[in-house]
Amino acid sequence: MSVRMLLGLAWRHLSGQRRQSLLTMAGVALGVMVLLVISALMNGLLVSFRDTIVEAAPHLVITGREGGNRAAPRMLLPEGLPGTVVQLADRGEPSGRTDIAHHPQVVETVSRLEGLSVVSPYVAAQVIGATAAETAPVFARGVSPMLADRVVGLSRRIRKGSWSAFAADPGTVALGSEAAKTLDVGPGERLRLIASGGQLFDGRVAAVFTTGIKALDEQAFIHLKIAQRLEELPADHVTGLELRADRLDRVDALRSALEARTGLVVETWEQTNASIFTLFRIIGTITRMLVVFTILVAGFGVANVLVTVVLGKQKDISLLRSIGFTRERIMRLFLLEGLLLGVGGALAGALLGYVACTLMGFIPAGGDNEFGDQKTLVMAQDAATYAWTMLLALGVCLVASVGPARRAAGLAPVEVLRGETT
Amino acid sequence: MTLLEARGVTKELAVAGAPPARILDGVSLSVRRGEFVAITGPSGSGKSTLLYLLGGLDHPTSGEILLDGRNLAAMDDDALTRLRNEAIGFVYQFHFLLPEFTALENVMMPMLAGGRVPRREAEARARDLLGEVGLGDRTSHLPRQLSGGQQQRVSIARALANKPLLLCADEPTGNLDTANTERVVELLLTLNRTMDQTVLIVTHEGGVAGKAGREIRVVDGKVAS
Repeated sequence: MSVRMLLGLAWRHLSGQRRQSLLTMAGVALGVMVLLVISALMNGLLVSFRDTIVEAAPHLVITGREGGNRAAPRMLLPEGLPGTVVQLADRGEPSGRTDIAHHPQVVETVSRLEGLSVVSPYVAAQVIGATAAETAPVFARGVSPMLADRVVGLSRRIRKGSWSAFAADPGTVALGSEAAKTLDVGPGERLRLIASGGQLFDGRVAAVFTTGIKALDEQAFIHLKIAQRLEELPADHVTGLELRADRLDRVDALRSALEARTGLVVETWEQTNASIFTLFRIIGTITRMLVVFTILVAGFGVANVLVTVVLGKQKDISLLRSIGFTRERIMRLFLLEGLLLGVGGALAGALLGYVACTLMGFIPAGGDNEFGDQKTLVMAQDAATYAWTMLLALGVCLVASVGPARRAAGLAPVEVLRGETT
Repeated sequence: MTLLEARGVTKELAVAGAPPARILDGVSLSVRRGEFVAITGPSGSGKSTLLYLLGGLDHPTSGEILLDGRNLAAMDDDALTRLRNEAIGFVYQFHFLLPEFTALENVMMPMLAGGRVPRREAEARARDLLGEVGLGDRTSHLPRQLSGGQQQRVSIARALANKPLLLCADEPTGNLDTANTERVVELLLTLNRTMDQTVLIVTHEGGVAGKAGREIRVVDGKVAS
């Protein structure tokens, strides 16, 4: 039995119901298109967000286990009142300070692992920033500027001043744009940082950067040694190590290896941002499920057309049975018809989806990124999404045709013939 | 030489809320190779049902039907379907051509369905058969472009496609005018004479039955003569 013959039969049955067949295919196509567009939008959002994070956040962070006991300074007077009173230390409150002691040894151990391109030690310090105009809590991060830049790429995110000016002078600060706004300070101006232990650092702002990640843009970058002094840490103590991996897909493997080697706490960038990624995933799943329902509804259309064909073609089916079509072959014929509707719909939907995604890629997104990286909607299209969307449509069409096909195959030729003759 | 034999064939049909209706009651008959047999009888006598059973379209409730030594009653649906394709040709009252296919394609269909005949060969044979039934110039016509008589001749050509042992015709002229009836009956007789084609024809027309070599009369589900 040639496939060509079955195809011929299927094709002519469907062309006999041309309008209904086309409408059904349009339904499938619409579902496929919408699913593709939604997927591209959701993925685009995720990708652009992830790129921002991957670009500006370390891939892995190593921190110590439960260690010292240092509380963050707190503002004691409500905002708006004249003057500032700061509680610099509260030794009675426990905190989760987890320093890494002897970090050079750790760095050495870590550096021996394959797949890491940068290891940058840092000291985190919650401080009070004070300028001539404002006083506000700031999260300070002491780093080795050249290493840190290779991890988070801040030198490419400078809005005012320059990263190299910051790198060259330990007496300077690279300030996130949010912090700069809060403190009302710009390059060249003075900034005093007050640590919880009462240590002071009088610096000068060398650069203001914007990453698009609020948590980073609220930070003040200072030199590692300055931060150690503010936090009263010995020279070989750091809060943690920030790492950049050669390949993102190796990050999870690296995490396990690092934990095993160092015995310290290692977190990947995905873990750090787990809650937001989970949120993305949930929203994405819900949206896709809604659209999958559209395709399921389209499946009813397919079943509908095939029921019509089966009812209208009872005579033909009986004849085919009488000239040697087995039940199985009749079944295959109608499954093939469902599949043809699915293929037509899926291909048309994929084409429409591609066109729609491409066109939507030109829509201005009104992005919040001042560097203009993201002027238009990011539509992330990939072959795998096209493949599974089309397969889904085909699967739905195939399942939808099972009922009518079984009905056709179960038809007893004699009953139809008896009805026709006397 | 016996080609077809029925032994005590009974057919009952289920009727909702009532005992099953006995359509055929212990029918026994035999048909020799090359015979032209007319099955006649009043409406509702069970003659069409008998033809369907003899042609392997349905299973008897009890009894045996032997075609060329093979018991049709014992075959499952698939085996029976294959046998119909290989050994039995059908002509119906309402010509039953596939409306979306040309005359040529309709005649090719049983050969392609069997999967034993290459497409090219099937096409050549279909052309020959259409020529034999006088429709050599109508091969690419769709059924709706043909007259009733022409359609019936196409379906005879189709029935002959796989060189069947047995040709079953169910009131093949029941829907035709006199001229076309003549033509179709002549065609069947010619096939019987020149090709030694065994023909079983159900008819209630005396004229058709009179031309048959033998008449089997069915009355109330039993063979009357």
